[in-house]
Amino acid sequence: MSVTIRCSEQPPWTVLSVGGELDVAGAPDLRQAVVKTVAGGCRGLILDISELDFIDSFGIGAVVAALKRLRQRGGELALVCPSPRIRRVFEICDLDRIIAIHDTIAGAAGSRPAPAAAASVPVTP
Amino acid sequence: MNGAARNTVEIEIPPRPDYVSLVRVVVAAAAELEPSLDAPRVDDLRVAVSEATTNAIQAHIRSGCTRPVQVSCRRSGRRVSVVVRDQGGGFDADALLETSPPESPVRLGRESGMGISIIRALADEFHIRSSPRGTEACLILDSP
Repeated sequence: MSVTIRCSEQPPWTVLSVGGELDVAGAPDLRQAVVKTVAGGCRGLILDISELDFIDSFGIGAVVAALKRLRQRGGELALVCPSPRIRRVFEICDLDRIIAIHDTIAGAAGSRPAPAAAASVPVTP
Repeated sequence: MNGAARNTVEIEIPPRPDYVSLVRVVVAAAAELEPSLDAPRVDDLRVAVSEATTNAIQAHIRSGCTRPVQVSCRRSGRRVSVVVRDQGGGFDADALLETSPPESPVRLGRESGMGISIIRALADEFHIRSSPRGTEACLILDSP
């Protein structure tokens, strides 16, 4: 199974919903989608990994890259990860200390001041 | 076939990223045979094996080695031992980076290199031997 990525808008947030397996084979697709989304003007990104079946350090690396890309531009990343199994990998890496992790998209969107308006960018990894 | 052979699964994969998921599936299936690891430990095993196999594949890619990566999975009661062998160029196992605090610029600047730390956190035992001829990573998980 590879990775699936869907893009939607929840102004002022852009939501990338990621499913499948985020490993060495799937992580490049997420990196590409984030680059395209941020290049389109997005400064508030919610990564929804509720439908993710698997993540390892390569998937974690892609999430860290997204965080860096947004913060370098004054933006912010929020993560939606209700699965304890997936969340545990973030906790092992201590990344739950620097990335806000939420159980729902609504929780992520309501957790902080709204970012700058996000651009609508179609994503086709 | 002796008992040890019945409890051992050996696979060889081409050194390509798209084969890592196959290794995860095979090793997890072996671990789920009775007497199986507990489900959360099987999840841990999938992650740890994914890291070790990815490292092996990358070692082959870096060194231009096209020979297969070997993965051996052995069950003994509720213990699973996995050995991943590659024929890449090896590395200095004593020089593995310690994980920096997550808030540090060093850590944010590093988007990779967390694999060994993750294996160490998940496996009950983890040994790695490396030479210029290749690397052998052995990880062992038990159910409590």
